Amino acid sequence: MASADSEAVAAEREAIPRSVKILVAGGFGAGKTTLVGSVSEIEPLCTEETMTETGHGVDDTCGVEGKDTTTVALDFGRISVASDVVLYLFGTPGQERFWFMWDEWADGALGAVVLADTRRLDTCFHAVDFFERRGVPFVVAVNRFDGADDYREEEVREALDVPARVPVLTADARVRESCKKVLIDLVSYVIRLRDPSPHG
Amino acid sequence: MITIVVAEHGRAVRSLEPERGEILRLCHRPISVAEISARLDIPLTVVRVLLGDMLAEGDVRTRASGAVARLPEKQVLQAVLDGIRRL
Ligand SMILES: Nc1nc2c(ncn2[C@@H]2O[C@H](COP(=O)(O)OP(=O)(O)OP(=O)(O)O)[C@@H](O)[C@H]2O)c(=O)[nH]1
Ligand SMILES: [Mg+2]
Repeated sequence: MASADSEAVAAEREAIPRSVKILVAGGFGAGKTTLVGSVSEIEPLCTEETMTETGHGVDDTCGVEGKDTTTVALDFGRISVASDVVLYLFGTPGQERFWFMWDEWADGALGAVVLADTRRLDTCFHAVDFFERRGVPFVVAVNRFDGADDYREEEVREALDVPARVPVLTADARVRESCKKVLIDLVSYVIRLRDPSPHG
Repeated sequence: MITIVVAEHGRAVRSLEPERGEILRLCHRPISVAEISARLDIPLTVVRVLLGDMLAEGDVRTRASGAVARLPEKQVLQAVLDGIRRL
């Protein structure tokens, strides 16, 4: 038994799981952390990324570049979707001033969820625009907050200028089943994009 | 950020920098760079530098480079879909 156990441990050590990521973007307070927490198998974790932004006012004569360092908090959750595949969800601050970080976040991302807060629809414009241009597949999840105007999905699509092929759905980030539905719709959409067969 | 690292067999926690010892202990099982950063409360940038040294010295290993940046294949996507459905 002992040897079988150690073999199992060894096998586990040999195989490093494949990791994939989904981004959750949206304006300040749109429910990103809530969504990540609703589906993650671990308590959402928070990490800090220090980014150096090359300044614009480069002084050639002394050869020193002006640099700004910004610290950005990222929260993330994990779902072990298979024995050899781990999905990470990253809640990303959607503010435009972090544009220089977006490329790294988007690198290799399977897709993205744009959380649209109906009280402040304009705050997710930048995310929609970025994912469109970067070619990252995304869905728009309309997060209905209490007391917010009752938007229909079509109205949100129009307001955000989201192309017809992009799924727009209503969600509640506090409800696990609702978040699961958002992720299922996103991944199904990504699979459809990859293999546009009528039976897909 | 989501690169997964694991400690090499038989790599004892040496008394080098304490952070490296802690990383090595965490890497006993495969773990992502982001998670190491969060669990040890060390900024990602610092974790990357430490892991770079540890990789070079053979303390840890990682999936072949490129595996992360590449877009997932169809069967990986299907596994993700099935996994979320099972939640
Ligand atoms: N009514 C309603 N409230 C929500 C929903 N999602 C989140 N909230 C609440 O909105 C508040 C902000 O949610 P967070 O998840 O912290 O938002 P966030 O996008 O992570 O915020 P920042 O990281 O600060 O940008 C919390 O008090 C949540 O309980 C939702 O779907 N419906
Ligand atoms: Mg948050």
